[in-house]
Amino acid sequence: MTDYRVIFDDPDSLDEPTKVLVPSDRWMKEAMEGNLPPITVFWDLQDDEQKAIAEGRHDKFEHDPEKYMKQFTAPRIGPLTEEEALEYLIMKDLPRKCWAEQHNRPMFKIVTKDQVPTDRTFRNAWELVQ
Amino acid sequence: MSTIVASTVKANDILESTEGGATFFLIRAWINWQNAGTALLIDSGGVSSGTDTGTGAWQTNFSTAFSNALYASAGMNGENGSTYNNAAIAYNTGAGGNGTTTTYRRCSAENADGGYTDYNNNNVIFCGYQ
Repeated sequence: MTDYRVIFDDPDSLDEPTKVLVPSDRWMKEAMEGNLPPITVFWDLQDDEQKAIAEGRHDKFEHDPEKYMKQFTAPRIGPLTEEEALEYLIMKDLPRKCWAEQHNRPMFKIVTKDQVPTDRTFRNAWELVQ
Repeated sequence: MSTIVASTVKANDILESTEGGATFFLIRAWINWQNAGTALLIDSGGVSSGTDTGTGAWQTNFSTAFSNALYASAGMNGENGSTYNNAAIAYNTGAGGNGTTTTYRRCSAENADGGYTDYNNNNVIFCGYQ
C-alpha cells in the first residue's frame, strides 16, 4: 500500500479547494508489474476529448476506435518503481496544466499521507502551502 | 442454458447470451471511497486513483477510459451506526466536460438536508462501453 498522496491545485479553477489525489493500490501494483501502456496513449485520448469539449460537441463524442484500443493493445512499458508509477499517475490523472506548464508557484506536491490533515473543518478552504 | 467458465474476461469483451440474443454488460469500474478524515481509497476496481475535491466531493479516475462519456453510474453511501438514512450520491454532468469525461467522473454525497457530507463509505459502480 503506497503512503504517498499528491496535493494539487487546478490552474483553471484556483477558486476551488486544494485537492488530494489518492493512488489505487491495485493500480500501483499493476504499474509496478509492468502492465501499463505508454502514457501517450492516454494523452492522445485526453487531447481528442478536450478538443471535443472546446468545440461544444462533447455530448456526442466518441473516441477514435484505433486510439481507444491502444489502451489494450499497445506494448506495455515494463515494470515501474513506486516513484515512477506515481509520476505516471500524475501525468495521467492530474490536469495537464498542473505539471506541464510553468506557474508562479508549484501547483502540486507529493506528500506522505501523514502530512494530509485529518481535521476536515473548513475543508473547502484548504490551500496548498508552498 | 450455457455456462461460461473463465479465469479472466478481458475488459473489451462483451458477453452475449446464446438464448434470445440479450446482451449482458459488465461493471467496468467500482470504488469504495472514504471522504471523512484523511481521504482514503478503501478499495476499487478499474480505478487508478481517487481525488478528494472538497467537503463531500470526490473524483474517480479510471484505469481505462470509456469510449464515450455517456456511461452510467450508481452509488450508495453510509456510516457505521449511521443516522444519515436519506443520504444520496450525485454526479456532476459537467457542462463543458468539467465534471465528467471518459477518464473521470466527479461525484458528491449529500445528507437528507441536502448538505455536502463527508461519509466514511461512498460506493459507486460504473457501467458503459469500454
